[in-house]
Amino acid sequence: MAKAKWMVAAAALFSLACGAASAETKIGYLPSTVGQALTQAWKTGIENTLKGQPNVSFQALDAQMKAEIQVTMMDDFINQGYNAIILQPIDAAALTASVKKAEGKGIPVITLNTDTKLPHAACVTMDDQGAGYLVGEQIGKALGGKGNVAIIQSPPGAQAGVEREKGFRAAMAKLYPEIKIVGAQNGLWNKDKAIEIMNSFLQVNKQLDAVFAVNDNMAEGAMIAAEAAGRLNQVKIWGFNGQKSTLTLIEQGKITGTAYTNAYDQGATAAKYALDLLSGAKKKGDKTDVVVVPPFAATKDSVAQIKPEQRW
Amino acid sequence: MSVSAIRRLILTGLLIAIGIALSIANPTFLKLDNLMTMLQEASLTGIVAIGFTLILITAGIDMSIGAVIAITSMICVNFISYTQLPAYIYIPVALAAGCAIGWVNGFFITHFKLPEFIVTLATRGILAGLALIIAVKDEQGFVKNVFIEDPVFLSFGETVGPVYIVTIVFILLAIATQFFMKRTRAGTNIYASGANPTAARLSGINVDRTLIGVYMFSGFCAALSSIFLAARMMTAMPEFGIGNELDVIASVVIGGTPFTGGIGDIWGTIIGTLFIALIKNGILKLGLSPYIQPIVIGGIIIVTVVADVWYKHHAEKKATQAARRKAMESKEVGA
Amino acid sequence: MSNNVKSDLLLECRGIDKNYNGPQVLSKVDFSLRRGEIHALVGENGAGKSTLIKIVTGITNRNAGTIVFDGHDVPVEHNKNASEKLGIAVIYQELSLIHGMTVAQNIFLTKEPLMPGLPFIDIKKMNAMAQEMIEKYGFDLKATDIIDRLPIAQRQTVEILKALSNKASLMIMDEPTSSLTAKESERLFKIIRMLKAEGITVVYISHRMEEVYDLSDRVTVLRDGKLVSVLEGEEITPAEIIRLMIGRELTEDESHHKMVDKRDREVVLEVKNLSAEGKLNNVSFKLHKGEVLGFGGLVGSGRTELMRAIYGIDAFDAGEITYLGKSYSPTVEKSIASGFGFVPEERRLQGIMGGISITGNIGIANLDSISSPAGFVSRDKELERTQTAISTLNIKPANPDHLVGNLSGGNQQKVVVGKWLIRDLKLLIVDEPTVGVDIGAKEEMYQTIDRLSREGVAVMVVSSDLPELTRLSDRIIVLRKGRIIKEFTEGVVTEEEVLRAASGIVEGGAK
Repeated sequence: MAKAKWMVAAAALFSLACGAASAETKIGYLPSTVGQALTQAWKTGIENTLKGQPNVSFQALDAQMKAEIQVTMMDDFINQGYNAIILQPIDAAALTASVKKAEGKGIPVITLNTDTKLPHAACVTMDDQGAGYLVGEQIGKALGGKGNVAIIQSPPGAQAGVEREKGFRAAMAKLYPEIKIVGAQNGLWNKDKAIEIMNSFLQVNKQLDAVFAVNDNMAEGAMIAAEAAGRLNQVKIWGFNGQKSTLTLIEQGKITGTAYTNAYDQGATAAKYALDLLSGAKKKGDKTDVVVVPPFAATKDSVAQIKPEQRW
Repeated sequence: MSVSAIRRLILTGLLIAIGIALSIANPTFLKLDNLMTMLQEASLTGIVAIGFTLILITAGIDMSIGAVIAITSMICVNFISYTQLPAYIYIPVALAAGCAIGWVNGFFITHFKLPEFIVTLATRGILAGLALIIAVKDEQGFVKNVFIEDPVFLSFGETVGPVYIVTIVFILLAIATQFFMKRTRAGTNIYASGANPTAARLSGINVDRTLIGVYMFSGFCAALSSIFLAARMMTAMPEFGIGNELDVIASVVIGGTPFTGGIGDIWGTIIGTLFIALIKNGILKLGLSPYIQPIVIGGIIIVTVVADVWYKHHAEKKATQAARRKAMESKEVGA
Repeated sequence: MSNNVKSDLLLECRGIDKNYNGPQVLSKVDFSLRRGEIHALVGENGAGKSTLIKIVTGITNRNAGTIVFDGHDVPVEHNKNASEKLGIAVIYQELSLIHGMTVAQNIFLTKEPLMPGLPFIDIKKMNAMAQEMIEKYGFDLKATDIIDRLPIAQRQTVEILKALSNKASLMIMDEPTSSLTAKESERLFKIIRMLKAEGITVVYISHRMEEVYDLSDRVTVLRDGKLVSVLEGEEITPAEIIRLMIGRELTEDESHHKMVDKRDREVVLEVKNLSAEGKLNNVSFKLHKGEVLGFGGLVGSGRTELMRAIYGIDAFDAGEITYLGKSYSPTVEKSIASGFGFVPEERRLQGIMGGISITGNIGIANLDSISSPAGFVSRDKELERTQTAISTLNIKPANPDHLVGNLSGGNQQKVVVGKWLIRDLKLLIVDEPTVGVDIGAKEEMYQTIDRLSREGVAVMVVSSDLPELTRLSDRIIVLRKGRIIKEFTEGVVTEEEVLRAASGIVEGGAK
């Protein structure tokens, strides 16, 4: 009996759902996690762009750094009939199937920083490898081509982090072969873990001249550890991204530098791209349209060039 | 009425009620696509939960299921990346590996009389580490999550009509397992070994062999789920499955298989699995914070278990009171 | 031995020896069973009954002797499965039944009928077969009943059906009536006689003499691991069986342990009409200062339950307790604070914490007296008190840090007593004081109890060890089925008298 009733109710609601297809445009934002300055800045950038648009709604979900969860959430965006998705894939391979599925249903996907394996609408990315190379150059120059450096890495398989590290190592190998890379460990993108790793670097290496953390959070962690060990002035710490707090620390001289990207701008670019695709102003091509946001080496001397409204 | 019958009735009622509430709150809930992807997710958990149900029926626990998922997917991508072997060869190998891990668990538990929790927690750690070690790496030694392109392998992630293959496999496996448990001697032996191992031994059941078999089946189920997960995501990751044990345990326990052994069945697990999947989907559909998901699931576990214990205690108290009264009366006569 | 002519003996054991790497448990025991007889096996606790049964059923192996079952020699390397194949079945209380399964599933476990040509259980057929057996014996059961919901007596009949389905020719029942009501016992006896009529041999082990007297064709009496006698027909009388079980003449020492009437002294505890459903029935007695009051009775007669009720562990339904002239409703905390001490029966489970030191064990019961007002434990005081207990009770080794789990049984017992000793002890309850304790430690325990009673402590002792009970007590109360059935107050009481009372063979008692 109960079942029969349920079926009737289900059928009724189903027809209701189909009938009430809204004219509203829904855009979903799905970063690896919402708990970071970078993903927050992107969100702000996207929201500011969409704010002026009539009939556009916006929804962000937190994938909590787990690829399986992100795939589930992608499915949910697709099933709920979103019109476009802005995605920061946790893993390039793991999200490819989801992106393919969305595009197959006519939903354009714009990826941020991490590209996926199959073609989709666009990828708005920082130049990870190029920026990593830039950091390498800066550190090498400052050390005079000699010394010990360590790397705080991203989780295995996180393409963006890996690219940054690759660029950095390439600069070292090519320009400063005498600089030794004495350690490299996975900081899981997070500050606490980075403190732990930096502590071990400091204990093992009596002489440590510089550390490259592949994001700012981890650079801040490294700074905390070095400061606690009383060796902050002996170690040059470089981060990546250029979030507001890190820029302030650079001004204070606690962190040496970071590869700054205007994340507001990047988020806005992605949102604009989505709107253009939906309005027909842009056409989707056969290949992923890669939009590169150029990096900028922010140090104590150059940080003033980043205006307050550009800081995130 | 029996505890399990009441529970099943209540859960089914709740399933329907939540379903109706969700479809009112968010009409996209009832879209065929949504229901099917929800079932796909439920099936991935559900296949593991079938094996885990048998484990709980023997009064054991298997903490290694998540790690088995990880290592199995790593075995597959190794075959894909480094060999030309076809899927119909390496998939059976990967499933066999799941069984082998189950055998190791069962062997240590029965042969050395070690606690199930400790043994499987140890294998969990070892397998999780091994998964990272055997993960495919790029030239510089970074873990590279291989993008799987083998069409035979990927077909595991496809649908038949609107229904995902994993859902069909889940249903078939559930029916077969239920039938096995209720209608074969081996199944009966599993119940007996869990309810009262001493009695089972006295009745001539080889309890150790039964337990080893159950752990092998659990390993097999986890490995099977891993293949479908990897096919769905078109890649394999060394952290696959790890941390998903809560969903599996919750599905089984909510389904009415208690930790005490000897009781439980697959039907309950199916309902429990659907229940968890519905809750997870519902949280997304209602736009609630995904962080409350583990809280809700944990809460449901506590509520169902407390309700069980309360009901059982209540029933037992009534029974013993009646028995005592009866005993006293006849003692009066006998004395 | 094995020839074609079937002897009228189903089982013949000769010269069975058994020792568990130490004391001889059985020596040169002969035991034979005729086909289709009901044969009782009796003896005091520790006489070797269970060991003999374990050897016959293959749970343990003999050191020497021969066993012939149904014309076949049974090898020394006997085992449970082999004995089952021979047709030997043991009816356990409920040990071998699987909860959650139906009667039919239990009866046919591991030998379920299958569908022809398939590996699948034919449930319909299985239920029908079980129902047929049930009806044949007229049991009050349904094949589809779930075991958990059956009372003990009915579970036992399921056990019997299970044995019958195994085509057992010998059924061994170990204390089958210990948890049955009188009515249920009667029905079991009917079943046993039915089995006999079918030609099945039944070995019946019981402490209840009237049952043995009623049922048995023959009785084998064991004492201290030796065969004493095999009684048959007219020779079987309860009094004779008890005489043979106890056997030994009273020693000088024992016969001189007279009871001492201390009933003129101050009353410490008075129990009036104490009743607890299914456990205790109208129990009343008085306990006096410095008196050792012994409680005899069979296992399950309500002795332990009475002690637990007085100490406040279990609730009771009716009756009152007066302690030192004031009405007293016991709880454990109150009892401890009022100067009660309790040394429980299951020492390992209830009396000690094995992984903790002697100091820790003694401190835990005395936290009130060794803590500062703020609640911090004074380690010095704790140690001081432990040292006192160690020296007064002669606990060995005399090391306060020694883990109690590593002490010998006797010393563990002393620690439990020591917990209470160092308090202002007024009333000590001791349940089975010397189970699992060696002889030397036994005597020390007796002396401790004697000394405490001289110091004015009122003591209640529960013991199934009859020499111990008569040795310790100033007065003995015998319980049976939750009631006081007999009280011995003066003169010399013999073990035989106590056992007769406990078995219900008593002037004015039951039956």
